[in-house]
Amino acid sequence: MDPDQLGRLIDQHASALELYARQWCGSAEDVVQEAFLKLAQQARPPDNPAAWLFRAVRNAAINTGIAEGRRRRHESDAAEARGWFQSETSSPLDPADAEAELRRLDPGPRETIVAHLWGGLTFEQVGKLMGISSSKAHRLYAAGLSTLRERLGASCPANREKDPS
Amino acid sequence: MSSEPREGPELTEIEAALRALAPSPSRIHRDRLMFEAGACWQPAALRRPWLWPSIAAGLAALVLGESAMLARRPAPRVIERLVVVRQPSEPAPPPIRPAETAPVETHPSRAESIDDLLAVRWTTVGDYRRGMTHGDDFVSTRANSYVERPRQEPPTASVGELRRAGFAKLLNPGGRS
Repeated sequence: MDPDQLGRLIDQHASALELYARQWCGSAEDVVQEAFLKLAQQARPPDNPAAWLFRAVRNAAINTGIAEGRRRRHESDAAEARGWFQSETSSPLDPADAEAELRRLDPGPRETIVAHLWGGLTFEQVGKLMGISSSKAHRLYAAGLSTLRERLGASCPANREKDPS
Repeated sequence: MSSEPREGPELTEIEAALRALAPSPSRIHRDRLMFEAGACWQPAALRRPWLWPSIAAGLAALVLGESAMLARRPAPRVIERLVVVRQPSEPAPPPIRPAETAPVETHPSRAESIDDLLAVRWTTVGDYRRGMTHGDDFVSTRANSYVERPRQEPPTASVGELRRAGFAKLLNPGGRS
């Protein structure tokens, strides 16, 4: 793979890939780095490098999460000082609340939301990634958004402005 | 992306709010990752580490097999066969043209007459000229000299005996030099 292309992929997808990998393991950056190295070693670059990276990160993160075990995962989560999102944001949502609610979501809806919203994957790609149909992926996504809307509604400034109480 | 399903207005708002959240910056050291990617890069031939070892193993097995076959090969047998080759009859020797100065070995007894002898002798240009110069005296003198020469006995051994003697002489290595 061309070094420039690899550099662009790192710039564009590294953050989203780490966010995606944090759903399963604590050492997300190691998993993402290994995925980029595997991509660089490919004799023939994949047709869609982003989708390939998300699949590689998913498989590696699940395996790493299993290997880490419950105890180490808790330690990693505790040691993880930084949150999932940047604190300085233009979003009306509080980043810590959004992270907490995302963690509370079921794995399926959460994965579709992260892959689609921040990973930029289509529902077809998300479906292939998760081994489900694109319509099922979209249903999971919509269900997850609906749940987040209900849970974050009180903390969303836009809703607070609309809410007469 | 245009074929992607759109969410309803109630979900579009929360979707836009979530999309506005930026993931924490990656903790991957970009330059280090690029360096490691370059260090891990291998040419296409080296991406198949099994190729050259398998070729070397195959050739080694071939060499061992050949060596085993050579070690177990029986000693070469010497087959002695007696082959009789019959030599075809010798063709008639081509007629020898007499040289100008070489004397012709002609036996006088085989000459039918003096005319035959003269016909043979005068085939040489020198004798012919001398004969023409000195006349019949020279011719008769030369003729008498041939007549008076002692007769050489023809070889009594047969051709086969001579050939065997020649072979024996050829095969005889001889003494110390």
